[in-house]
Amino acid sequence: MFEVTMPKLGLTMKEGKVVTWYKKEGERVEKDEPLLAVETEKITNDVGSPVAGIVKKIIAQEDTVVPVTETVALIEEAGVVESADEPEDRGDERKPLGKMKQVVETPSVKNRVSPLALKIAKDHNIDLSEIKGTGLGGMITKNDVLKLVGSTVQVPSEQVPSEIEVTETVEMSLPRRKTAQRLAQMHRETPHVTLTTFIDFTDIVKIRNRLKEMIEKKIGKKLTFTHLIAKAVSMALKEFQDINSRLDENKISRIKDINLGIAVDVEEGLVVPVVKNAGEMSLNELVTRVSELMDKARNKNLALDDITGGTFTISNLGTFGVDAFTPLINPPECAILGIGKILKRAWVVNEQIEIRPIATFSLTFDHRIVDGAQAARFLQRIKEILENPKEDFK
Amino acid sequence: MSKREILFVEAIREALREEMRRDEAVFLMGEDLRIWGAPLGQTKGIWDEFGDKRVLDTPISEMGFIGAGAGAAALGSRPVVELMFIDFFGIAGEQIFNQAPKLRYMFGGRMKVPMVIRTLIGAGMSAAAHHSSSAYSIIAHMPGWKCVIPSNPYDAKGLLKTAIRDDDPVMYFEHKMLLNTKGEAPEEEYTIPLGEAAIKREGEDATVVALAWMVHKALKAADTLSEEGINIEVIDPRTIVPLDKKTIINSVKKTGRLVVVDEDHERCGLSAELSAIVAEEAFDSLKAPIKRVATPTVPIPFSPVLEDAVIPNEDRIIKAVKEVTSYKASK
Amino acid sequence: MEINKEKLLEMYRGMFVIRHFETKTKELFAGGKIPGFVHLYSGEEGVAVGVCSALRKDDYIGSTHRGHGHCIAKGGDVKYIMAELYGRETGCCRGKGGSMHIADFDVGIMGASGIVGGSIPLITGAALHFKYKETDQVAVAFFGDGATNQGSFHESINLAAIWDLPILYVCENNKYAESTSISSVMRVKTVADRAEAYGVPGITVDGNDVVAVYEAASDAVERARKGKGPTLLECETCRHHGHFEGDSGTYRTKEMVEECKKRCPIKRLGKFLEDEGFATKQEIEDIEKDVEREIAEAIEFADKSPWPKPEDALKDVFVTPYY
Repeated sequence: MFEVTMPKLGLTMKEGKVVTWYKKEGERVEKDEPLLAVETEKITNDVGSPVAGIVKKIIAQEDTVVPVTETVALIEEAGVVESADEPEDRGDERKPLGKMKQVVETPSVKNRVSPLALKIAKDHNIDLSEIKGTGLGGMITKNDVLKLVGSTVQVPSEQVPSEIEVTETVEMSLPRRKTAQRLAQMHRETPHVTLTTFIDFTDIVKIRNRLKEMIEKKIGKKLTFTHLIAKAVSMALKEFQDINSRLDENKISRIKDINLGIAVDVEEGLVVPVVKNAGEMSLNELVTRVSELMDKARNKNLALDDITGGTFTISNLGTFGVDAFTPLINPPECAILGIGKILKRAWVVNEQIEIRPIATFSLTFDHRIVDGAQAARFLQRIKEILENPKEDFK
Repeated sequence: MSKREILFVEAIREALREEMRRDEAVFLMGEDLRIWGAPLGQTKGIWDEFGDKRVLDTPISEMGFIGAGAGAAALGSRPVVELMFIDFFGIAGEQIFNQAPKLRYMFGGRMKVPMVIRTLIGAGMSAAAHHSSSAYSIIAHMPGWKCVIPSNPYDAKGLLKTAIRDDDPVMYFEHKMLLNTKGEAPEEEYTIPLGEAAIKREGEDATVVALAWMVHKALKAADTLSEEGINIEVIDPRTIVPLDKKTIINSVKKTGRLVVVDEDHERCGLSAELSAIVAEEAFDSLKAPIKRVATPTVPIPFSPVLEDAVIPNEDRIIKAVKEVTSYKASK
Repeated sequence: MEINKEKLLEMYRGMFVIRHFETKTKELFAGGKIPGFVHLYSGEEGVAVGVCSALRKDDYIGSTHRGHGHCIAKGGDVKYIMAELYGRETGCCRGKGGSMHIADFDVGIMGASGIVGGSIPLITGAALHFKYKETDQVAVAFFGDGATNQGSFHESINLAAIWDLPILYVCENNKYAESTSISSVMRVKTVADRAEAYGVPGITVDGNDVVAVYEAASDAVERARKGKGPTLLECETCRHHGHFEGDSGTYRTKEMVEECKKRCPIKRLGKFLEDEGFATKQEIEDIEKDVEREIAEAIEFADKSPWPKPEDALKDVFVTPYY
């Protein structure tokens, strides 16, 4: 629909009065044919239609004053009417002359794939329709596909790769698919950065040893390093509101409660139960709640509320013997902390080499929400709390 | 055959119509054939009968459409292409001299080009240097064109029909001064073979060979001369490629004298060619030197006075005939 | 327009036949076996083969002074073409045409022309004939960049445009009109730009990518067959040799010629076929050996063929006997 606007008819004109409409709604108007009369402070002008078509709607009625460039009518464009004795239509492609001249480097080739490219694409389940081929005639080549595979696999030129033996093909479970979609989306859309630091667990080990028996006696649960780390992270998050936040569309929402997600591996795969309001919990309460959620997870008893509403996630792969890794943010959260194995290492302390229990902490954060320095300070704060544990852990 | 008189231009139209009705492969192509019916009405009414498909109006692109005519002919069409005036041959020179007439030979005789070019020739209308040439000598000089130059409605029709049916490129020359002349031509189907001269008037004192408009001038001269007791034989070769040498030679053998009347330029022209043939093949019969009455080798001028001064006329023909008939060899 | 292994190998073979034919022609010319002028097609094979692969046997092409490639690609028999180059009685034109005037109407070769741009009006006439006869045949005018400065090109493409003739105007832009750089004698940037002046689609493709040429030509052929008129298809390419055999080639630097040879359409397709799993090295070598044998036979045929009889020089001007 073409919008006819109040034209500027003179250097000083700011508004004009619609005096007459020469066309009614539904009538046809040719390009440059008088459409309306406009009165300015000086003179009345006929205004020709800027396009040919049908007058669909007259917005500014006669005798109304309209500022320059505001819409006065709508015209549905309909080209030039051919007179009856005009030569027969020569087909659409003849008309827009400007578009006829096209310089085509590789003419449109759809679904033209070389045998090797096709094979590789099949093996890697790659959608060929998205690929622009660079081979002869714009054909999709093996290199075009390999680029998407992200592989540096060298395919020997004369050979066709041998078949890969597939023992079983299993449909993805719904949760698995959801996880896959969410993670893939996060990976595509979030500019994420991972910061890494080493944390000396000497004092935390001591504290754990000191509190372990006590807590077990009191609430019947085993105190783990995950509990202690969760406590430390909750404490740090209280001070870093920006990190305890979520990004929805273009809005950053800082969340009052610290709802800490703890990734856990169960039979079906990864689940992340959420400890609601972890920031307000004592260590005992935290241990109790985490233990409850872990049990629920293992028994597949988690309620929807138990796995939603998280504001930050901890993923501890140290128990799986992983030294360090880059965790993926659990959207729409701002950050995730990945914990590596606590390992005895030769550590320089006060210019002496000592044996210390050291773990690698990796913080992946959404760079759209926070900057590197802020995230670094947050990670440093966790380190500080864990390396110099105070009364909070009692 | 029924007796009937028609205009030269009607003869052309009839021939075109009849051949187009007879053979679907025949179509016309050229400038302004439809609405004008060609500049002097040669194709008038044909569009009305045969429509757009068989009467193609072209842009003013002589090289393009004459080449296209040859190409279409090479694949089996029988186009009759109009080159409005022979003076325009240079525009299409590449196709007229290098392509259409050479294709068959270059390609070892394995194809043919059955195309006709119709074109206007001749002075007499003060059309000046770009619309008055005859120029058939140039076409005949180059290999590959058959050249037809009719002088009357009967020949015009019969020869054009033959030209259209011929399998080789034929250039058909229409003299503008003749288009509105009348002559006998039967309604019945007839054709005239190429390469057969017509003896327009028999005589024994001298042979006068003339083409197109010049035939008429030669015949008038003959009337005048006969009053003085000189009887000339007027021969119209009608086609110069192929050329009916035999009729000319036989006539010269009878009369012993030859005057060639030629509206084309004298230098290296048809008059020179005919003279040479007779000199080579009938030398012993000649009682006098051969005389040429041709247009001097100057562009055809505009002013009627100047034009008359260069185009052969009755007086020049009479003078030439008298010279050859009164010739006495000096020993 | 199916593009599969068979089609690609067929195109490889087609290009290799031309290349090997030209390589041998160069040797034979230098050895005094072939008289006259010879303009070699080496380097431009992607154009002839790409375009002719999109044609049917009953379609027609108009060729140029550099025409061996077009004629071979359209299906001309190398035996009779070689005999024609030799000037022998058995040549496709009985020794009357030679290198610049090869024709074979039986396979749709309407003839090569010694005049730059000379065959364009004629092949346009072939398209006119197809339209007049209401067949669905298509004509292809091959010509070089130099010919696009000839009136014959402009007049013909305009005729084809106004009459919607079924024809492709295929410009082999090898960047040199004889010794003159096309950029110095053409103000527009590409030959395809000229199409706009006639209301005809103008397309530029890499002429050394035979598949690209085939694709573009197929599109244009389809348009033409459907009565949608002509297309100007510009194929950017380069020649490996001089304008004619004996050309000193001083207008191009050695580097430019080397660069051109690197873009060889045959090597490119061969590598592509092997790299992409279309064919094995062995299959390609087998094709090449077969072609070498075929050309060797053609040369032997030409060499052993009789000369035409001198009196035949007067024949074939007219269908009716010589006047």
